[in-house]
Amino acid sequence: MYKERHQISLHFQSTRFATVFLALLVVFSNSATDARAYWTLDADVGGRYSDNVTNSSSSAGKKGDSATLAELSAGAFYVVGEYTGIGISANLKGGTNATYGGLNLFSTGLSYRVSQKFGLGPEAIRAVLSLSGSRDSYVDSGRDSNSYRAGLSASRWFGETIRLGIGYEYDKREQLNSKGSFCIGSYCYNDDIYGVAGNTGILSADVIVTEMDMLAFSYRHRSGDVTSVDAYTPSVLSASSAYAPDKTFGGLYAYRLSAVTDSISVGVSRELLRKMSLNLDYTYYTTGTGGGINYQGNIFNLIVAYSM
Amino acid sequence: MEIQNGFRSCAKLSALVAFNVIFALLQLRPAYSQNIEVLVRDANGAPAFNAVVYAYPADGNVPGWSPKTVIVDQIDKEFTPSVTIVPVGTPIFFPNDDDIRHHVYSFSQAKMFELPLYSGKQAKPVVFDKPGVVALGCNIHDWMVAYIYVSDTPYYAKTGKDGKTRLENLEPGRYNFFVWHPWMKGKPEDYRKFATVGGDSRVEFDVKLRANLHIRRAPAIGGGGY
Repeated sequence: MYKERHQISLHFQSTRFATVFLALLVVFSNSATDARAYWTLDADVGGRYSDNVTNSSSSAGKKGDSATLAELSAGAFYVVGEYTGIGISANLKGGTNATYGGLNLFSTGLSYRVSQKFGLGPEAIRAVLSLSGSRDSYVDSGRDSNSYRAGLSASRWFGETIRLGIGYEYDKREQLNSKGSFCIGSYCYNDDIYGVAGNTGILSADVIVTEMDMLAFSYRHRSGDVTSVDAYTPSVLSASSAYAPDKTFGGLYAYRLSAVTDSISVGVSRELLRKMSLNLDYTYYTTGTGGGINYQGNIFNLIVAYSM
Repeated sequence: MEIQNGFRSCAKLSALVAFNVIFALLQLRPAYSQNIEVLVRDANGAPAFNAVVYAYPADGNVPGWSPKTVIVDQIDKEFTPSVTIVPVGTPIFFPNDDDIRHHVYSFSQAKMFELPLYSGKQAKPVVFDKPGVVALGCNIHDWMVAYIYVSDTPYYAKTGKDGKTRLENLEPGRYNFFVWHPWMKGKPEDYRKFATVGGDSRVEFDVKLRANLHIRRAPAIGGGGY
C-alpha cells in the first residue's frame, strides 16, 4: 500500500513538473515568435576528481573517484525586447567514472532562461530566471532520476573587470526506480534515497585579471536533503529519512539526510580562443546534519568550454 | 600672307609652350603633398595594432574636408572594425549583418546615442559632430566593444598589425603628431612629437599600454558538482 501510494505520488509530481515546464516553454516561446533568434551551441569537455563521491562521514565509507565529462547544449536565444532575452536549449550530458562505473551517467534535458536587464551597458543589473529539467540515467539504475532546477539570480559588472552576483536556486530530484521500501525482517525503511530537494543561496564574483584570465569565486549555502553513502551505523540510520543498500559501493548503504551544506569555489578561466576557454576550479564543501553527522569533500574540475 | 602664317605659327608655339608649362606645374604639384611613415610600439617594443595617429600643422592652418559616409558593421556578434577614424561631421551607418537584433549605444561625451533593437541597416546614420573618442557597446552582448576616433584634422591613419601606418597628402612643413590607442596610459598630448613633412622620413611613438582587461566572450564554467 505504501509502495503504491509512493509511486502514485511520484508519478503525480513528475507529471506536474513536466506540465509546468512545458507550459512555460510554450507561453514564452509563443511570445518570442516575433523576435529574431539565433542558434546557440555550448559544449564542455573535461574531467573531475572528487575525493568523497560517497559524501561519507566515515573513512570506511569515503571513496574518491575521477570522471570524464562531456556536455552539449543546443538551442535558440530570442531577443524579445530592448532589455529582455529568452534562451531555450536541449541538453545532453554524459560522464564516465574511472573506478565506480555505477555512477556513469547519461542525461537528457531542457533548459529555459529569461534574462532581463535594467538599463544600458554592462554596469546595469541583469536578472536571470532559469528553469531546467533532466532525465538522468545511471549504470546503477537505482540512481535513475528526474532532476529539476529553478533559479533566480542578479549580477552586474563594476567597470569591465569585476562582476558580482547573488542568486537563489531550488533543486529537486525524483528517484525513478524506488520500490517504496526496503525491509530487513519486519523492519521496513523508505528507500527513496535520491528523492531530495534543497534551497541554495549563492554569492559569486568574477574578476578579469589579465587579458586572457578570469578568476571566479563563489559561495553556496544549501539547506535540504542530501544522499550519503556510508557503512551501516545506527547513528546515521537514526538520522536518515530513507535508507537502502548501495549497489555501486558494495557493502555500503545509501542514506537520505536533512543537512546544510556550505561550499566555496575558486576557479581560473583562461581564454583559449574568442569563444573557447580552459577552466580549472576547486570546490571545498562541508555538510552537517542536526544529528552530528558531518562530512567534507574536495572537488577539482578541468573543463574546456566552447560557446558559439 | 607670310606674315599672317608666321603669326599663326608663333601663336601655336606659344600655346604649346603654355600647355607644357601648365602640365609640368601640374606634374610638380604632388611633390608638394607628401607622405610620412609612422611606427607605434608598446613599452616592450612590440608593434601596437589599431593605434590612431593624427597630425596638426604647426602653423595651425588645418585644411577643411568633406565628410563621407562610413560603415561600422556588426558581424558574428562583433563590431567590425573595432577601431574607426573619421573626421568631424562624418555620418556613420551601423548595419547589422547578424540574424539577431543588436542594441548599439554610446555613453561617450563626444557622442551619446542609442540605436534600440534593430536588424539590417538603420534608417538614418549617426553624425559624429564633435571631436573625441566614442566607445560603442551592444546592450545585448556585453563583450561587443568598438571605438570611433572623431578627428578634427584630415591627417590621420590607423596602424596595422605591424604597428606601421602612413599619413598621406600632407603639405610640407612642421607638424605636431599625436597617438591614441584604446588601452593607452596617459593622454595623446603626453606622446606629442614634432616632425617636418618633407624633411623627416618617419615618426616613431613608444606608448605605454595597459592590459586589455575587458568583458570577454569566451564562456566560464563555475565550480560545484558536490
